Amino acid sequence: MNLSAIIEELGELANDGAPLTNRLQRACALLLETAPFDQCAIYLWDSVNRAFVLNASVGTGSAAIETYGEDEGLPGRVKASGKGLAASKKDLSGTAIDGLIDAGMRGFSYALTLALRDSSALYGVIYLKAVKKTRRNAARDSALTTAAALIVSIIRGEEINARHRRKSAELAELQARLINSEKVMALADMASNIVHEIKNPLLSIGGLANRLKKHVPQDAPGRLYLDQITHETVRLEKLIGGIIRCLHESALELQSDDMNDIVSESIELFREDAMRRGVNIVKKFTDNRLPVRADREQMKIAFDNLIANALQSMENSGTLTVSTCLDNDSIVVKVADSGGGIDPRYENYIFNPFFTTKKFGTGLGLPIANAIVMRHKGVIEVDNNIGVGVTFTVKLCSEGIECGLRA
Amino acid sequence: MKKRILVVDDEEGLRLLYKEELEEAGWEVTLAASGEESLRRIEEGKIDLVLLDIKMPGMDGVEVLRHVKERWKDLPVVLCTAYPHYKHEFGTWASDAYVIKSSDLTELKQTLKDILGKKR
Ligand SMILES: Nc1ncnc2c1ncn2[C@@H]1O[C@H](COP(=O)(O)OP(=O)(O)OP(=O)(O)O)[C@@H](O)[C@H]1O
Ligand SMILES: [Mg+2]
Repeated sequence: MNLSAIIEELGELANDGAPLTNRLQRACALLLETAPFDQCAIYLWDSVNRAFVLNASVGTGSAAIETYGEDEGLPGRVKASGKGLAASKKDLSGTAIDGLIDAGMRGFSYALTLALRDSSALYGVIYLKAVKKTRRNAARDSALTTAAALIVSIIRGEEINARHRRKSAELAELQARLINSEKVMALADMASNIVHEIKNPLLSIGGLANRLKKHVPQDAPGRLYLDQITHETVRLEKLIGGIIRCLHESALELQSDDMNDIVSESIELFREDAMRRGVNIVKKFTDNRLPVRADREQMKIAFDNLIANALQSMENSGTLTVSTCLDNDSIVVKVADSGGGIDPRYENYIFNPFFTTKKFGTGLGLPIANAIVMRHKGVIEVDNNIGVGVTFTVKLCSEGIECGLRA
Repeated sequence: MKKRILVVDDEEGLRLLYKEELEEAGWEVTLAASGEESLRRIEEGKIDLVLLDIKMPGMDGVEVLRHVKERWKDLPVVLCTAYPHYKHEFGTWASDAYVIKSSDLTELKQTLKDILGKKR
């Protein structure tokens, strides 16, 4: 095949729909027809790992090296020198080439490297190797330089295609999400109806069972069943209450408030429970006012859930430390326990609705707390100190300040 | 004289529960199973407080509340529902109190006591 025929074929490869590696493989095969070369390899520059990675190779002799670091071997030299085409001969000793060691030259004595670059970037290197020493040939050199430019266009076309494919994939995903969110909404609607249909009968079951208890003495047969019924209905009621709270985001009733007051009120609810557990409550509050715009009732629910979890992690004795402070423009509240921490196997699931490790838990405490804090444009962070305890940190922006906790 | 509470709820079990619990607490109880029925009972007179479920088929609690506040301005109404989020919506502000339904009636009874104690 003559040089112009090869160039023409390379040009056609640019419009071929085959995978890039296949096309570069074909390009290598074409280049080998030009001349005295016995092996052709094409390396692509990986800018993340800063290395040349073998993409295609054709020919005889020892296998081409898989990767060259940024400044390794002849590909490394191409990058450093900035030259388009370079010829190299083995030294007289037969081990080094142009004064550097390149294991890829084992069994070869002559090499041509061509940079695959355009004005904006280096895409890779064509590495041609010959067993026998060869002389440079100007016509061949210029044809190879043209070939290199064509191969650059193949690679660039592929990049554009990849970007295009990515874009369409993103679009498809977005669309899927939209359809999905409609589905989710329909589901939420249905769930809300079901929950309502369940709640009323459940209340009569629980309430009437409670009344029945008044007529059935503690030691009467059947009292055990009754206790079980009321116990389970209370649990279901709690669950349904949680689901309702998740499903219906009531509008926030924002008002100016002091975070210290809100957290204090939450703590007071748990004094008795803490005492029963032998848990010591330590309050480390800043003396500064912590001005915040918040829905007081909702924010209290968030802290109630964090504090309840902390207490529940401490069965007999322990310390609950609640601290508040102002950090630049953000308000920071920490709820820390000494309950031994979260099993690392579960750490990633604790914010999932219905995830619970407790016999009577609903698994809605944290998702609700998270949703409430999120709607106040704040964040909850978890610091799990295995064997010691957990610290939940709630961060909110001070009133009137966009402190950028959430984009 | 004992105060009379009108309980409006479409759930039969709950009407029974409220009736027994409230009578035990010392009040008289009249029942209504729908919004329409509740207005007829009020017209008959002798009602001191209305305990009203919001979500009912037909005329719902919010509508009943509107009628009551138009015609019997001083008759206290306590709204009762499964949904905490109604609290700030649908003109429920016109009611005298708002209770979230629970099988534990302690909070409800306290609310009723507060309101009925204040009156007259
Ligand atoms: N302070 C904590 N220490 C150890 N584990 C915790 C702590 N807080 C949460 N967890 C783990 O996260 C899980 C989920 O908590 P979440 O509050 O969402 O539900 P729950 O506490 O199990 O149920 P509920 O809140 O209804 O009582 C818990 O079951 C527990 O395993
Ligand atoms: Mg919890």
